[in-house]
Order: sequence, then structure tokens, then C-alpha cells
Amino acid sequence: MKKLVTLKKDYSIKLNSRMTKDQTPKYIYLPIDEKAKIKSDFLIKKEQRITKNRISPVSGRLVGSKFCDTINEKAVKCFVILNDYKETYQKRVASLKNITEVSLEKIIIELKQQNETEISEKLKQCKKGCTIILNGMDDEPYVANEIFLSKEYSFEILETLDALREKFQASSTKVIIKCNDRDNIENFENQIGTYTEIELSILPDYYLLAEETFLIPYLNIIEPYLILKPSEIKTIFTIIQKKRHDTEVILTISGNGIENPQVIKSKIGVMVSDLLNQYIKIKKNTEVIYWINGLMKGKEMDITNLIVTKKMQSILIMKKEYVEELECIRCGKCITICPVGCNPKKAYDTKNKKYILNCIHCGLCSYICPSKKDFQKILSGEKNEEEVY
Amino acid sequence: MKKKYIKFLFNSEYSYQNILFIAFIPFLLYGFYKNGILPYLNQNISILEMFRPILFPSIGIGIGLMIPFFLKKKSNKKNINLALYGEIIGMIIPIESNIILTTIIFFLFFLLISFKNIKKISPLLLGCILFLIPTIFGKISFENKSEIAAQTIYSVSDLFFGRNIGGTCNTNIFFSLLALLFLSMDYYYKKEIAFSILGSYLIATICFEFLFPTTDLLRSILNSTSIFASIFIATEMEYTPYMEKGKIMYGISIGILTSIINRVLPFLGIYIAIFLTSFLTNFFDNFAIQLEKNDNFCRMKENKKKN
Repeated sequence: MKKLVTLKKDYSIKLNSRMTKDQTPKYIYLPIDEKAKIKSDFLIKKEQRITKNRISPVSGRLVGSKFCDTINEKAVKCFVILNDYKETYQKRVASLKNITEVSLEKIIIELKQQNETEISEKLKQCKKGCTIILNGMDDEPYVANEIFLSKEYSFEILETLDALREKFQASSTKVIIKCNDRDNIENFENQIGTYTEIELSILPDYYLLAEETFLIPYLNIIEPYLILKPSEIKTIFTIIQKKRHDTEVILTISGNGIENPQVIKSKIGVMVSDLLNQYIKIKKNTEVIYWINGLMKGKEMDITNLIVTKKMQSILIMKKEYVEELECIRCGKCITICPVGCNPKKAYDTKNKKYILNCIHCGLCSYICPSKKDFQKILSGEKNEEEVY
Repeated sequence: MKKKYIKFLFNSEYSYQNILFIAFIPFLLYGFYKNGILPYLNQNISILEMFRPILFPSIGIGIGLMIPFFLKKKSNKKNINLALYGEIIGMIIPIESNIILTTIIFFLFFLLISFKNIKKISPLLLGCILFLIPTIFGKISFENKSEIAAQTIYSVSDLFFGRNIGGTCNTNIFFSLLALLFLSMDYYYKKEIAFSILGSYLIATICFEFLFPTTDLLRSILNSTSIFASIFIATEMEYTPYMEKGKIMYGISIGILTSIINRVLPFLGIYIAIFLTSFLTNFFDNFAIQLEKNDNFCRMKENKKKN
């Protein structure tokens, strides 16, 4: 494994220590199929399944449809739900006393039924006697979703983790936190005493260490293992123990273009511009750009019609700073820094993708380049050479 | 080139040139002492001639900064390069060079390289060779007036600490090695090249000395011009290989070639060696890429076997 690096950060960007909860959005936009028919004024209850994959996060009235953007697609047809703020549920099932009452098979089936296939597959593939790891680290700079989730729901997370440990008869269970996450270190150190089988590991602040491919060799863990993020554990907890649908996401809204960076718990389907208008103050006389899902791995997007989806993790609002893209000075740092041994320089020169076959789109080559070349955009085919120059 | 906005808040800055300007300060001071103050104290030169060692780099920097200004070129890294080139060339030329002629050559040379974009060979290297050609024909000596008058023979420690025959300000091997350590800490400095040149030069010189014994082994090793050029000129960013193995191969070939050519032209060997090796830069890079590919292939095979 190549040596991982610590990214330089602007420490003046400080997140508000408390998570903001956006519980009362006026409109909710839920993507649907093109052919779906809409009955106007149709009453919808909270957590009501509208289509196979869509569950309403609020109760209200269906008022029409609109074309909105998501992270992966542009101009997707969406239902528009006007929130009546009554929070009337379709049916309310009593929550379980403890997650240990449910068998592992039932957990997997239940998760699959709720369209949480990724988590259910992870649990299904894991064998008994494995190592369970709770990965409470965020890779992207200025993003703290997992950190805030761990802080907010530490009790529920530890309880679910302990239950999973019992069900898998895990050989060891670890909670992993980055060394600069002081709040969680203190928080888990105080609570972990109750769960004697769970260990707390504190790792250095290296970029990409939160990725499974780099974390496992770093910890010297032998298969089988199960890596879960706090957000995934929280989803298991909500679906299995609370018997509720997971209709909320944690979003970090940060960057040097705003006055009040913060982590927001938002409902799925909220319009990003509405969310920003309500909670975020953009610095005066500042031209900003919006980066969705991080500076390193994410992409720049227009937020006019963008809606919050489950895959959205962060919105970074950065100041626009103009720089000149220079000719390559052959420093070779893009090759030295690449954690998977790609050759971005050669791929850039020859326009041949065989030199970047292992690319994981970590963005380190663009980050390190002193000539300010945006390798990431060009190599992924997002931008032509002509557009760049 | 269009301007584009930068997404990273802390994108890496290329500060190598500024660091070089700092690294040269001790050389300039020592050059002033050795070729200025000492000959003046020995009453070999006048008080005005005492400032000759500082004058040449200053002329180089001045013309290097002046030309882009008069051509109304935007200030960028390439323009700063000209000043840096001027300083380095001013440091390596013989102390007895003609000031007016040097100024004219500096002016014409910088004018030429600011119009013509030389891609394969470093303009700095071309400049060094251009200014040192007269020394091949014995027109200019590298010795200062004090050295010519006294016919001094320097001890090994003298050679190491700078009392050595060479250019205006590049004779101090101790400062060169210190600068190498200082530059090695810079993220962008191609230290692999410098270390492989010095290592291979040392080994090759010892080997050649055993095969064809001449006068003094230590004197051939402690060649200040070669050491200075291997640290500052051979490592120039844009004209050297970028692959790690390529850099090492490039350095080794320069080291071996230098030790051969130095037996005939002791003050010019390294420049000719760099000049000849420059044509193989792309070859070294491609060869290194091929080697890395084979390594990855072997690793994949091993992993498959393990699985």
C-alpha cells in the first residue's frame, strides 16, 4: 500500500457544533417515472409509499409535478407535495424494546424490503466470527456527516453494533475515529465501558483512510470482516428497532463562501435552494460555486433545480478564485501521490485510459498539481481538452 | 490560455524558484569573499574590482527581469525563470570574464530564449555552455588574479570548503551539499537526480582512477563545478524525467558520462553530460513506465496465485 497523505485544510472553516434539524419544509419533490399519473389534491400521509422506491417524508397534499435535477440525472420528473405540517402517519407500528429480539435473517429481509439493498447485501455476505468495524471517519475535507451522526446517535449506534456483534459472534468489534475528532473520542470513551467487547481505535487524519481498500491493510485485518458506517447502523436501527422508514439525510453545508457552515438533518426531496435560503448566509460580495459531495470526489453543480436525495452528503459553497492553468512542468507529483499507482500525466498526454485503469477518482492528482490541471475532469471524460484551454 | 477557477482552497503552490534564490545567498557571499575581498586584501585587485563576483549574478538577474518588462510580457513563472537563469549563469562564469561582453551576451541570449520556445533542452544549460565555451580554447582562466599571482596549491580541506578553482560563486562544495539537504526538504525538488548523479559520479571516478590512474583521486572527486551543476542545473524541473526510476537512470548516466568527460574537460564535463543525456529524457520516462507496468503485472500474478 502506498503512503497516504494528509490534506491541507483551511481551519477558519468551522462547523456549528450543533446539528440543525430541518423538519418543516414547505414543499417536497420526489422523483417518479415519466409515465406515472398524478391525481391532483391527492392526500399523502407521512411515510406513505408513493411508488416502489419513494416514501413520502411528510404528510400533505400532492399539488403537481416539476422537472428537477438529482446528483446523477438532470431534469427528472418529480411529484410536488405541499406539507400540511400535521405529520399524520399512515400506520404507526410500536417500536421494539431491543434489536436483539430480531434474528439476523429477519434483519436482512426487512432491510431488503425497505430498499436498503447495499446494507442487506453487506450483512448477507458476512460470515460468523468476522471482525466488525464501525467506520466513523469522513474522508472529504470540510465534511463531517459521520462525525455528527456518531455524536448525535452514539447510544443507538453502540447498541445496534453490540447486537450485530452478538448475532455474528464477531471475533472483535472496533469503533474507528479520526484523531482530530475530539468530541467523539470523549463521547465514545465515556459510553464504551458498558460494551466490554467493543474497542475504540483512533487513527491519523489521512485522506482515503475511510475507504475500505486502504483501511483494511492499514489495520491489518484478515477476512472475513464487516465495515459499517454510522449512517448505515443508524438506518438499521431506524428500520429494525424503531420500525420506521429512513426518510432523512445528514448534509454538511460548509465552505469558505458562507458565514455559517453547519450540518443539517434534512428530509429527502427538499429543494437545495430552499434549504440554503432558509439556513445559510452567503458572504457579501462573494462569487461562489457549489460542490456536491465534496471537493475531492464530488462535482460542481448548478443548484437551481437540485433536490436532496439519499446519495447527497454535502454541499460545499466555495469562493470562486481565478487562476491560470499552466503548462505541465513535469514534476511527476501526480504519479507519486496516486494511491493506486496510476499515471495521470501519461494518460493526459496520450489520451489513453490504459494508464489510469485502477483510478478510484480520489482527486489527489488534481489537488497536488502545481500547474493547476484538472486531471479529474479531463480523465473522466467530463471535460474536453479544448474546453479547458 | 483561458483562466479557470480553482476548486481547492489549498492547492499546492510551486515555490521552488523562490527557494533557489534563498539557497544561493551563501554562495554569493562566499564568492564575494573568495574572489573579491581576499584578492583585494592581497593587493591584487582594486576596490572596484572587488565587487566583480557580485556584479555578474546581478547583471544576470537584472537583464532577466528587464527583458520581460520591456517586451511587456505578463509576469509569470517563466519570466522569473529568466532572472534565475541569469543568477546561475552569473555564478558559474569565470571571474575574469569581460563585463561588457558578458552583458551583451546575456542580453542577446535572454532575448533569443524569450522569443523562441526551446522544448527539449534546458535554456539554462545552453546558456551555461555558451558562456563557458571560451574556456575550452584557453581564452579565459577560471583562476582569480590572486591565484594566478601566488600559484597556490590548495589542500583537500581547502577544496571542500571553497578555496577551489571554479566559477565566480560556485566553488564551495560544503555549501552545495548543505543546499542539497535544504532543497531535499522541498516537495518539488528532484532530489533523486542529484543524489544519483553524485553517487554514480563518485563510484565511476574511483573506478576510472583505478583503471587509468592519473594524478589525484580526491582532486578529481572534489570538482566543485560538477557538484554545483548536479545539484542546481541537472535537476531543472521541466527538462528532466518525471518518473522515479527514470530520474535515477537519468542521474546515473549523467554521473558516469561526467566522470569520463571530466578527464578531458574538468570544468565543462557535467554540462556536456547533461546536454547529451537531455535527449534521452523521454526514453528514460517510457522505460520507467514499462518497468512499472511489468512490476504491476507480476504483483497481479502473485495475488492471483495467493487467492
